[in-house]
Amino acid sequence: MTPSVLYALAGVLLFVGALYTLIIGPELVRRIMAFNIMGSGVFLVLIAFGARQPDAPTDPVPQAMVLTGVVVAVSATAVALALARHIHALSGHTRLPEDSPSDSI
Amino acid sequence: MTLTQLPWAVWCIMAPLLLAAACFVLGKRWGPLAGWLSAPLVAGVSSMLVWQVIEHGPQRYELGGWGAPLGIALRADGLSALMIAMTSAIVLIVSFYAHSYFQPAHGLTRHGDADDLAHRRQYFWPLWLLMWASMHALFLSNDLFNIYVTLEILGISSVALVSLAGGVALTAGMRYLFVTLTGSLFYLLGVALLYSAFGVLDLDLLGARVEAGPVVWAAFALMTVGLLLKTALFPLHFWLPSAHANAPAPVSALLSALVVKASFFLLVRLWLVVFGPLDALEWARLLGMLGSVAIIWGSIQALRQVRLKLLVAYSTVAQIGYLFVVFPLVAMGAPSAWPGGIYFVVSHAFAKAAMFLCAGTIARALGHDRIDMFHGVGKRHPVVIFAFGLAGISLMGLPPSGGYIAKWMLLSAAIETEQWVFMVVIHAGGLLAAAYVFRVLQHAFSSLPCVSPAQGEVPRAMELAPFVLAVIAILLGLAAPYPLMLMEIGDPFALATPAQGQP
Amino acid sequence: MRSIIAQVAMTHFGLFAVVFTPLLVLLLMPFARLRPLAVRLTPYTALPALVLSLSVREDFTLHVSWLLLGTDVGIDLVARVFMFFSAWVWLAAGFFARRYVKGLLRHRFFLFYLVALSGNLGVIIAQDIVTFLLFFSMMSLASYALIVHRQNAEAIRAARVYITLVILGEMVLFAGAVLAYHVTGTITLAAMTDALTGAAQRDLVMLLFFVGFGIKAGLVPLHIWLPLAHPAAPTPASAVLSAAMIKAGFLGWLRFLPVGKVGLPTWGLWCVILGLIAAFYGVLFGLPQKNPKAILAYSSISQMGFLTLILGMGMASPATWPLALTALLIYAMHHALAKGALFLSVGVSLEGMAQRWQRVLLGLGLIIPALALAGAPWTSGAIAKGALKQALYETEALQGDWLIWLISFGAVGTSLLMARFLYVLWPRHFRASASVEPALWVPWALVVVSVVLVPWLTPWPELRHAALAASQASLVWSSLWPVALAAALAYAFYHWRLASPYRLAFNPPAGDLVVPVVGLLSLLLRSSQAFRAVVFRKWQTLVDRSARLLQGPGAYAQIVNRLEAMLTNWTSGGFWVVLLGVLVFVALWLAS
Repeated sequence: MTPSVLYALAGVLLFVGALYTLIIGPELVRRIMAFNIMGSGVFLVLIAFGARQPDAPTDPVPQAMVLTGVVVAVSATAVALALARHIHALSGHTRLPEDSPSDSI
Repeated sequence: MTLTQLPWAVWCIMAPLLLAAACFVLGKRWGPLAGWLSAPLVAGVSSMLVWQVIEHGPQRYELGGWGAPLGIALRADGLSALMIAMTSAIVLIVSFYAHSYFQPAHGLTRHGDADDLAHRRQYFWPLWLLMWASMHALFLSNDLFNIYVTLEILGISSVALVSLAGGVALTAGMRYLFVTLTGSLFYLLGVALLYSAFGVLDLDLLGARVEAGPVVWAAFALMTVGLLLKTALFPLHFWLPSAHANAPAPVSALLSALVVKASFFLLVRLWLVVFGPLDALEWARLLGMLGSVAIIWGSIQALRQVRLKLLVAYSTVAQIGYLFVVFPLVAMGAPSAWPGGIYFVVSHAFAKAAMFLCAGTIARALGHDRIDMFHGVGKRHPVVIFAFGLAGISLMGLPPSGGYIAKWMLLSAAIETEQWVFMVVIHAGGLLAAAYVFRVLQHAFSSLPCVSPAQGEVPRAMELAPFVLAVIAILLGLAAPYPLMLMEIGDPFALATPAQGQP
Repeated sequence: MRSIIAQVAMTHFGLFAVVFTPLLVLLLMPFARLRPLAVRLTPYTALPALVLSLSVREDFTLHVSWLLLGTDVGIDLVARVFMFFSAWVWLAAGFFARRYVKGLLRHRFFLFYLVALSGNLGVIIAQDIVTFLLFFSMMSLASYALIVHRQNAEAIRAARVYITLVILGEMVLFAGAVLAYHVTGTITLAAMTDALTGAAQRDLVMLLFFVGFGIKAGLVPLHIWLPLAHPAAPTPASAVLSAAMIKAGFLGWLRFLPVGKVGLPTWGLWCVILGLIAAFYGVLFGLPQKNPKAILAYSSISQMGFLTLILGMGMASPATWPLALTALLIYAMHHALAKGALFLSVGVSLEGMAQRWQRVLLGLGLIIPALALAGAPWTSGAIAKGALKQALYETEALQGDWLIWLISFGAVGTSLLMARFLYVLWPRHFRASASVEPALWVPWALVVVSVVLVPWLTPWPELRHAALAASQASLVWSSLWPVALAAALAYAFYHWRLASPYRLAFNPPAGDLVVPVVGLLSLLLRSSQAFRAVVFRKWQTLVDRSARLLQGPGAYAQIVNRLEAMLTNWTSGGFWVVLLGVLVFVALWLAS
């Protein structure tokens, strides 16, 4: 098992674990962190496959992708946190009511 | 350099992007005006691209002059051009609506004080243009990772727009954000797997290299699920009704008409260009089955709703089902289902945008959107109810609407492949659509006196915009061959023919 | 060259203008402020058709590939003539209606008036099955609203009978269309009828079309909606129903049946028999009627019988079909104009008159179209009957004096019917309060004048020559004696009150067969009360249950609710995502 495969597996593991938290946890901040970790897992997979052959020079494209991905993740996190703050200001707690869609306006 | 040689594909993305930035910088006073004025501008640029595709065939543009394996390519064939034409037409018309929607109206205090409204108006237009730009980019991009970026911009701007309504919309928006981020990450993981296996991101290059194997299956499965989540195919529709029903009316219109279609378009593109050679009959059957259930379940839920906006949202859940019936029909050897499905996308987009705008106007006029309290609306706002009825005709698939043409093509594909189940489902969906549309009309035309006090004058544009959209939804049936010809430019469905796709 | 191109472009544009002008005005209707404008424009929407029918000399068809997955429209002699008289009557009726139709439902009336107009004109230019049937059902369904307009018990009953028959007709026509396409493989009407001539299922397809269009054309015994609907509808609506829309059913026969392409002696004989039956049936049942519009409706049934007879002649011998077709067109045009004038005159007469000169004008305006319909010498009716007889002399398959005699007796019957009509409607009393409405009188007078002039000024050379030949060949005597005989009979009836025993013995309600048919049905239903109760109860439970399933608070609704709540739950959403991912992967694995 080469290190790159090991890294990739670790990335997948992170992804799955974070996904589980995202599904189960009702806390907004926890969910926001969970999707950040999911993203990191994907980035790890990308980076890992960037250096598949130990002898060859590292493929720069995955690095570029990860950089862009980080920017995207940061902005998404910012939006999520802003929303969470608004919800906290409105309702006083940072979890979603299990809103059924047939609620009134 | 003449007009025909300009890279209109690039401008289709750049124009709304730059204008979004400009609106943001111009701020509270001039931003909304600039946003409103930029809508026709962007629509004009898009129409130039469509014209270019019609005149000179499919376009390909390499960004910054970098070749395909490393650089990013834009591709505009007939299919993308049709999607862009649809997007621009709808966003343009809805922009006129939105302009009136966010104007302070006399005697309207429902949406809080004037400051709140001004704040909302200020941020609406940059986000609106950003969403427009991301949709254009998504339809044009030919690069897997670039598509991921457009998906994220689209998702984040949609969430921000949903949250503009405040209140319940905040939690709906939060939920929508998690969903769209999860979907994107699934997609990105798929991209990572594909890149690891084949080392390219360009769709065409990837399509040439891809061969069946566990990695490709896993990648395809991840991307499929991510995109299904964003398209809200049953049973992944759990986020759609609350998000679409709680957003401001113009935003709901765009979300239902265009945003869910963007991820569907992507799935179609991926299958056509990249995964075409895979023998994906079972995959297609699974999607078709879910689509059928979506048609029935979404329609039943629509019938049960008390609020008009939720009814329309559930109707979207049902109508999305039709799109996925296309896959099994094609996989069974009826490539003629492709144009039918794409035509369904277009006609449903216009009809659904019209319906959501109608719902918004009625909610503005009555102060609520409870269907059983609609008495007298037909008399007070005949244009709106007329538009709703016209859009309903398209949803039911009655001639001579666009929905009729689309369903007709799907049905003939179903007959060709002897898929009787899908035939029954398509018909049943039409009947159920008739039931929920008539339920609204029946209340609107009820002779009982109007119980909801008038909330003041409704701006003219808020009555006209849905009307125009609904008329287009009908005209799409009368002028069907033009869009059908446009989408065939560059032969976008070529790879899906069974001769090449199946062993 | 350029002028030819310009003319072709104009005609193409004109064809679209014919159908779309009413629809464009229709688009103004939803806007409250524009509605009066739309109503004001309504009559003029028939103008493009009128202009086109008079100006376009060449036959042509146009394949419009972008419309409805490919549409054929075109214009030929048949279309020109039908378009001319239809547009003319619609135009006059439109002006008439602007003044005549008042009240709350005024706008609704004009809305459906426009739809029906567009449908009627569209039927005339349609050259393929789908387009024809689309416009046909547009016209039929829109006229439902015109018939029910008054919303009294009479109108509602008439409209119910009408819509039942229309829907039946639509079903029959749809079945016919599907079968025709299956048999012939084309939807172009000309190609379809060509291919139909030798097809195995020819007779079945023909029967379906014959019955389907026969409902609209008032074919006995499918005519029952006619005498109910015409009195119930507002006068301008009955004018277009009887003058233009009935003819659209007849046009359906002309377009969908392979007449003149193959000899159909059996069909021809049946058409002649059915036509004669209708001709006398209309007279027999029309005479006892008291409502002038019911009399006119029965007269329409009788006149459509004559048209059916001409069609039968064409079927029997294809060689003389051109001659028969000319006679048919002359007859159809004559009937449309005369019947349009008569219906409008009912509206004008009932308004009343205040002065003597008005009575003179009114009487003249009543007598002229009545005489024309009766076929008095030098009128359009005489020309039409002359053309009919000429065509009959040339038809070898149908020889015999008996037919000529029967037709002449039919003319006697028509004259009697007109005498009865004049008797019922004759302006007797002056009313000081009555005022002459130019908005009603002018369109009516225009149609009356057209009845007199059009046969002599027919704008199409083919018809003009035939009309002139017919007017010269038909001796004055042969057209005079039926009218004279009828006049004598009418006078005798009037003078010695001979009519009353007939009326006492035979007093059918308007709609004649409706009454026994409906009675029989309700008797059947009543006699099986228990059966009906069971069916009703079952049906009711079914409806209730499904309603409860969907909306109510019942047990099923609970299940649906809980299921949807479960589905829309965040955690289960996540579960579905994972499950679906696995399923898709497995599906891909399985496939390869």
